[in-house]
Formats: sequence, C-alpha cells, structure tokens
Amino acid sequence: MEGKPIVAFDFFEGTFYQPILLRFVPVPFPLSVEQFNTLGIILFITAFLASIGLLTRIMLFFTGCIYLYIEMSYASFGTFDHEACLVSQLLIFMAFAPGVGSISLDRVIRWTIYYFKKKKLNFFTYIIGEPPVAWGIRFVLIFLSLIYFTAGYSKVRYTGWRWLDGKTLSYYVSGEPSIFKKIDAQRFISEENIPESQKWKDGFGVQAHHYANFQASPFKQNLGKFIASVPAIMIGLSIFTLIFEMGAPTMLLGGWYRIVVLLMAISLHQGIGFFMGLPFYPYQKVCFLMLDWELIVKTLYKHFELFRKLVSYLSLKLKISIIN
Amino acid sequence: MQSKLMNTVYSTAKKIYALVIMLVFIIPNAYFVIIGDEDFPFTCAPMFGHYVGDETQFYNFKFIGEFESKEEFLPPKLTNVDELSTMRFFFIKVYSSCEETPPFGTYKNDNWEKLSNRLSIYFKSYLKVLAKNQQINLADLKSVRLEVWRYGKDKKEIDAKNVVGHYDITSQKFIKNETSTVN
Repeated sequence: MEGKPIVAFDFFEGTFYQPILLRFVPVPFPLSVEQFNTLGIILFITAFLASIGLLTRIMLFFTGCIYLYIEMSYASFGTFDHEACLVSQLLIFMAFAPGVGSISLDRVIRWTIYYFKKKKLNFFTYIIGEPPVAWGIRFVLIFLSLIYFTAGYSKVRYTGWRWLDGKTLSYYVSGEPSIFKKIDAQRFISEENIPESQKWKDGFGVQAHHYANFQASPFKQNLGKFIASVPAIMIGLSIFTLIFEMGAPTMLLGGWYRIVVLLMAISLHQGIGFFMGLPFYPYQKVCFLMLDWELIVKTLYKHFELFRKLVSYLSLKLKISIIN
Repeated sequence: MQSKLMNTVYSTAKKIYALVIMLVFIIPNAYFVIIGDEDFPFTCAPMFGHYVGDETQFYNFKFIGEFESKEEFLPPKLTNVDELSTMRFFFIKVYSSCEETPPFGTYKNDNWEKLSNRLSIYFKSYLKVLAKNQQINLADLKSVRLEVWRYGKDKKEIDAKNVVGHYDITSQKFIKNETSTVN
C-alpha cells in the first residue's frame, strides 16, 4: 500500500472483474465509495492495534483480511499489486502462527495482572516469551522460495533462456517503458513470429502488456540508460537474477545458505528500486527479518570481543539469557 | 501413563495444526505457479517475463469515437483509475492475449463470438463511466471504433493500424470489421 492512496472507485459492470477468492467467500463486492473509504479507516486502526500488540492475533487477522480485500478491489480493475500478494497472506498467516504474541501490549497487560497478583515474573523474559517455533519461520521461507522461484520460472516459461541475453532487462532499466511518458504510457508487445492462427483478433497477435518503469529521479534514469547500453552489464545482471530466482529454494537449507540467498534478494530489490522505482520494500523487510539472526548473533559473539561485552552487559541489565 | 498419552496427543495435534495452516496457504499459491496464471493474491510472478528484444513488436489500443460529424480519440483512462490500470484491465480481462495460456487469465477456446460479447459489455460500461464522469461529451456519438496500432522499429512512429471492429451505440453490440487488414 506504500505510496498508494486509499481511494474509492466507481464500479460499473464490465469495467472490473471479481477475483477468484471473492467468488468463494460470501462478502459484498464491490463496495460503494463510502463503504470502501470506511474500510480504509478500519484498516489503519486494526493495523495500528496489531503493531502495538493489542489483541494481536485478532487484529492481525482483520488487518490481513481487509488489506487482502482492498488489494483485491484494486486488482479487480487492473492494478495487480505484486507486493501485496506476499504481505496480505503473511498477515493472515501470522494470526495463526506461533510466537506472534511476543513483545506485545497483550503481554505487558498480562504481566501487570500477574504483578498485582503478587506473581514474580521477570518483565523482559515474560514479554519476550517462548523462542519462536520453527514451523512458522519455515513457512515464511517456503513462501518466499515459491514466489522467487516462480518469478525466475516465468521468465524461462515465457521467454526461454533468451532472457539471459540481457535485452529484456535492458529495455526495462533504460526507462523506455516509463510511467511518466505523456502519451501511450501503457504499451503492448508480441514476438515477431506469432503463428497465423493466433492473429484472428487483429491481424497482429498481441501477446502481453509491458510493465512500467516508475523511476522519477533524472539522475537514476540517466544512470539506468547508461548501464542499459552496456550489454555485458545487462547479461551479467540477467544471469544473476535468474540464478538467484531459480535457486531461491536453497534458502530452505538454512544456515549461511539462507542468509546469502536472502541478502541476494534484498540486493536485487535494491537494484530494481534504484533503476525502476519498484523497491518492493515489504519483500525487503520480510527478507531482512527472516535472516538467520540466531546464527548471526552467535557468529558475532564468537568472533568479536566487543559484541561479547555488549551481550553480557544486556544479559546482566535485563536479567535475560541472550546466548544459549 | 495418562500424562504421557496426553502429551503425545497434544504434540500430534500441534503438528497437524501446523501442517493444515501451511497447506491452506501453500496449495493455492503452488497451484497458480504450476498452471502459470495469476488472480490476486495468487501469482506466477510473470513480471518482465515476456521477451523484449530487437524484433519485438509494440502496439497500442485506440478507442476512436465516431460522432455525427467528427472523429475523436476517447480517453484510455477512466476517472480515478490511471491509464495503466484501465488499459491492462481492458487487455487482460476483455481483449485477452493471443497466447493460448497467458499468465493474466485465460479464456479457453476463445473465438470471435465470445470476444464480441466481452467487448460489447465493456464498451457499454466504459461509455457509461465516461458519461457519468463527464470526461467527454458523448452527445451525437454513433459508435466507438477499436483499432490496434503497431509501432515501427523506432518505437515512436506508427507503421500499421488495424481495425478490430466497432461498438454500435444503437444496437449495443460490438461488430467485427470484416475488411480489417494490416495497412
């Protein structure tokens, strides 16, 4: 939802379609302008409560469902937000996943009740709660692997290994499909050798719509144009992209594999953000959080004296065990 | 003994719960990945997947209003909805790709009759939105001609135009252009 205003649309039969989930779930669709705006306000309230951890699971569930519904409404008339695919589903998943109640206002309230009942519990130990259960994290990693893998697989599926020649990437990085073009910002494409049997609509055979470059900064646009004109860079980046995407499931091996693949994901999004204005921040945040922090902290603890001192200090002050 | 049994039951129930929750999310997502389609929130992530190279052809759709005494381009966007969304919706859900299994939604065994139906419904609604939002004065509008324009190698100049057909206001039907050929 970043950068996207919550606005309502006039839905007219024929100018929108009903997304598949809404054909199975009996909720009213589409909503009126007033109802849609009210839903937007409710989303902010539930998201705020979920973030401070008040009635955490319930608020996460409603936040996820409302966000999903709003994004489905956008998708119904042509704005398919691929960032929201991951986040909306993860929010709903988190409502059922173990460990999401940690560090929440819910726990502070419960600790306060125990305190007045004269039960002596360490505040920080209680607030942090139990260590996260593995299957919750594993699910997020499987989900991420699936999404990245399919992004790579789609390139091979629709283009074959020709995608590695760097020309497709060069076209998008160069800024040619810029959203800021005054006329015909949305164009459509097809290969030259379309079979005659597929040309019955218009004599041409139009295959797909192209995607847009949202980069507004002239400096970044110019840099994009420059690197797009260097085939070696484009081929290298194309190879990196495809290897990363199709190899993303290796993050499931855990340990340093997980860390390296997730860091590659973040760097890929950074690059796309820089040159195309599509940083996919929600993905970056999820990848960052999914780094194997236990392994990172243990490694730092093992190799850096200063870090050991910091951990010891915090353990002493907060009366909790940081390194097991 | 009873406590041990309870622990086993509890532990098994937790495993089943975890498996069910994971599968509820993974199965539909994996299904859309396998069939290569997308329908929010499920996606096969087809972004940037279609090849763009030296030989790629570029096109645009044009809606041309045929009035009593003039012709005029109708806006490719509806109020509140940007051009990208309007035209993507038109292409994905109405016109549809020439591929048999495009990643944006598939019309199985698509033919002229089905396309004509979809275009009739679309243009009827599209004009209703334009009229309601007063984006353009639709008085004296007789029909809307749908054309596909192909760009030349420079991606700037148009090198061919094809008429798909026109939407007739009176009959509210989209009629195929029988003489349509590449110019």
